[in-house]
Amino acid sequence: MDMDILNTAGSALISERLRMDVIASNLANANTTHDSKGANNPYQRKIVQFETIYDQKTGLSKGVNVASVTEDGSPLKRVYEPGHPDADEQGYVDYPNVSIEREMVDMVTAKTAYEANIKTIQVFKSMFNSALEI
Amino acid sequence: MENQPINRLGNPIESIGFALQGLEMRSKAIAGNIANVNTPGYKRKVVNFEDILQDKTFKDVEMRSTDSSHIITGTDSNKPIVISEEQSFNVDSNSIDIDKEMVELSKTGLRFKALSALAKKQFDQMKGIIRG
Repeated sequence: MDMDILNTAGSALISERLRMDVIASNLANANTTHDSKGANNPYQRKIVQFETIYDQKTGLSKGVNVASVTEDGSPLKRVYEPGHPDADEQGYVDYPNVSIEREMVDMVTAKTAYEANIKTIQVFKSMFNSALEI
Repeated sequence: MENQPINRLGNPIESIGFALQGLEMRSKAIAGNIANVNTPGYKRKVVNFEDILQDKTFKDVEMRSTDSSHIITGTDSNKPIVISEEQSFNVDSNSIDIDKEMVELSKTGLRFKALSALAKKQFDQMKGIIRG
């Protein structure tokens, strides 16, 4: 009995936490119209992509890895706000393509997955302890 | 353990050992499945060892295949089998059902605990016999 299961569950905890960080960043920047240099460049929603790590020997998965964090290329939200300093000639302001509802759903998914992996670790610990008692 | 046949009902420790090994591998598969619950395209992995155990325990005569031209009777391998479930109903073609995995995880954990308690009992019994 080795500790592979802890590494598997651990990799998922790391990945899900990173996803949670990205969701937090998306939510925090839901109304950000300027980038860090101060230019009018609305925030783009970030997406985390997962990839599985295969163990060639056993054919099982050894865990999960964050393959990339990419930008969502979908169009920005155009809102009619003539008085806004970032409004264009027609009076429209470009807001980030972040949907609060979608981020909320993603957050729940990430949270559930995180808890499921915690449970894996707990079950493994109890299995290991009972094996030690043989 | 790899190439040595498991004794018939005479020595339960061997069978328990094999089952514990199988359960450990199954828990690894479940851990991998749970870790990949949000990975698009991941296919569920299942470990089967009960069929092999049954074959080894209840078969009277065991035929070994030592050459590729030999006829294989039953399962020839002493290793648990890994099956990949390709069928998927999710949009991202991931075939994990988290509820199912959690149930399997609890089941595997409890069975492992029960079997290791049984192994302990067997050893205690043996100790008792040796001491007289």
